[in-house]
Amino acid sequence: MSTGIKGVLSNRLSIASGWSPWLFLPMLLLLSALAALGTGRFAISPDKVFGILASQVVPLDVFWTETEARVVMLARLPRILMAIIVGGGLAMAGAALQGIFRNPLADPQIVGVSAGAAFGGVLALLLFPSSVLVMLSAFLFGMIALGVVYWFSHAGGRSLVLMLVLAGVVVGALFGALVSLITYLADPQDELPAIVFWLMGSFATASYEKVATVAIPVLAGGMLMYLMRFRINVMSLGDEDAGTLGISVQRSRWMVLAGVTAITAATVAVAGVIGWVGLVIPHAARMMTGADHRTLLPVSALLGAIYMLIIDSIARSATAMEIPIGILTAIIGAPVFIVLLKRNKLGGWHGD
Amino acid sequence: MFRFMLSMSRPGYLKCFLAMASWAALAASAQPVTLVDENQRVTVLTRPAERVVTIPLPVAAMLMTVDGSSRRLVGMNSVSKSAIKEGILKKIFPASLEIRSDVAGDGFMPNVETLLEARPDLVLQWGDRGQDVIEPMTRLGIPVATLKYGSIEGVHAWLRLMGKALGRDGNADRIIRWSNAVLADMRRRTNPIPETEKPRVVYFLRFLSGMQVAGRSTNQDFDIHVAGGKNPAEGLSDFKLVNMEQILSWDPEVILLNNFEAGLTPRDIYSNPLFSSVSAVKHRRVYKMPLGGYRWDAPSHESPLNWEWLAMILHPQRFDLPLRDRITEAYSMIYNYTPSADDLDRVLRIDINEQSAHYERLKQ
Repeated sequence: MSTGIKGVLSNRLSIASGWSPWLFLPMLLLLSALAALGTGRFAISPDKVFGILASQVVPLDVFWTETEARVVMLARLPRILMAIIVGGGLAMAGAALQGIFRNPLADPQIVGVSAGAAFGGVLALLLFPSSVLVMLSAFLFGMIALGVVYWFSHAGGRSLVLMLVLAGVVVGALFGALVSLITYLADPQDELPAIVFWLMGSFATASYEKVATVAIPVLAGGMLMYLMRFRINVMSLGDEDAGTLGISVQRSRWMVLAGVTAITAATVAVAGVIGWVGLVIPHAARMMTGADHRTLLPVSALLGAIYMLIIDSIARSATAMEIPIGILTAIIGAPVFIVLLKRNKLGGWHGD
Repeated sequence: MFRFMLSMSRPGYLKCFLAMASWAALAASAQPVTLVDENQRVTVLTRPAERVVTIPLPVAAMLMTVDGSSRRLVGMNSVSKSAIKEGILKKIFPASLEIRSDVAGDGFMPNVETLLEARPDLVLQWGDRGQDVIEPMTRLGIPVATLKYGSIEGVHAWLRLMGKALGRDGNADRIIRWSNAVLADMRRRTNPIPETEKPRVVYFLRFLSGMQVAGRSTNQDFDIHVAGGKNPAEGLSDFKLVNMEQILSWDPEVILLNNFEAGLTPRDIYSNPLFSSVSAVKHRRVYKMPLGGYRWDAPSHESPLNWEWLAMILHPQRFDLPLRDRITEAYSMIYNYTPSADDLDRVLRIDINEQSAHYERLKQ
């Protein structure tokens, strides 16, 4: 079984060495971001968008209105940055989780962190509706969820992947129920709509403040996971093999999980629970580069950022009303996921 | 008589009997009452309702209004109660603060056991939110009359139904006549206004957590048109989430803020840099909706006052109504209550809106 994955791994590595995503993907991300800056309900011609952007670094004659500059700099740019950070973070977290759990269905929701963060945010919305506290509380409860999962899965003295997944499901269900309880207790006229809006997930309230809030934990978590990239490779061989290769499986796994929690809690705090990105994008990335996490993690992050950017551009500009982002990611994500699986027969994975 | 009955907090048997007897005398008949609601459901009461529970939000205030008392309201939605606490009804019907507000939960679902404890002989419930919110009560034999959400015609139908159920048709008819008269008068005056002179008005149902605007087929859209405005969001139906760019491309000339988000004031709009180029902000025409016997955003028996207020806001040159006197007259008629200057300031939200244009006319 483990020789299987080693074979696939080395096979993919040789393919990956002949193909470089390092130029193509960042270019694509940059182009998508520029295109997104020129897209929206408020019509601004591309030359003005470029002018507004350029005028931030070099002095230019102003040939645009004050309003157009505000739209580009205060409405579109923070939203685009947020979509990039959230999409990249979620996809990278999903890739790392799928690696350490050796399970193609793992995503940040499976360890209960999303539900914990959602509960923290909802609780804060109910008790003290301030955006800073909502974010802090989401983060805190994401961590608490992870702590409970850790404690649960150690109940038998040592931690098994199966126990971890079970604990994640249980903790996720528990926090999910607590979220429902709070929506039940909330004042349906005042608090409930705010809670529902927040839970549904949206970038509509993006601001530079939120960009900073989400960027710090996502970058920290992403760095941590990237530092662990070799260990994730080894752990994806299975606990016993990893153990014989001399790494501390337990500690490494929890370090990756801490990174995942930081990313998930931060993204939930600013944009609600956004599903499917952490599940689908790593599969697409694995088809491109193979299962080596040294390339898989950054490629997932880049792909996730591009994907989220495109989805959010549709959400904010396709119709006069905002389309909830979670609906789009599910409608697009689910069929794409099926196609990927069909075409690739779990590419990058051995058959277990 | 009213005062006497209001002061009875816990009626004993004798008091109960006395009250019943006097009510029977007042209502002139203890004949069976047949109610046909807007959904053609027929409910037969052996006599005018004595203990009514209301689940839809504006209906608690309307029931007390039609009855001229809070005595026969024995249960309501918690959000109805918050409107009473925030608004003027707590002064008009002080005993209403004691009425239980735990009879319905999330999504207007009745808590049947709590409801039974209130021993209602009639429950008023939404009729357009599915059978699930009605059947738990009818199954237990509780008489339920249903209401349809919607226009001012809907409000009139509710008033008529409540008047009939309580044996107070006269009160209901008086309010409906007034409402129709104001509506006809408003339409007569706003219809001739050329389209180009009607301001673009956007109503925010939510602002603090995502911007939700009122599209067509909402009560706010109806009110805006009655008062001589245009709703640029009428391409959307119902209430929809929109983003900043959409608002900028609509460029509203007047912005109306909801009464549901307690902390929301025009200052939130004026101080937002993204709004600085919006016409409504340039000309300081952002207003918090008034809150009287009920939130003026929603369709209610106070809608006529809202049309007059809104017309003054939208067309300061065309409409110069003595609004404070109008409110005083209306409240004397519908509540038998004379509001103080303080009351009027609070209804019109003078402290919140006084920074906005044309509002000094609404001050004392």
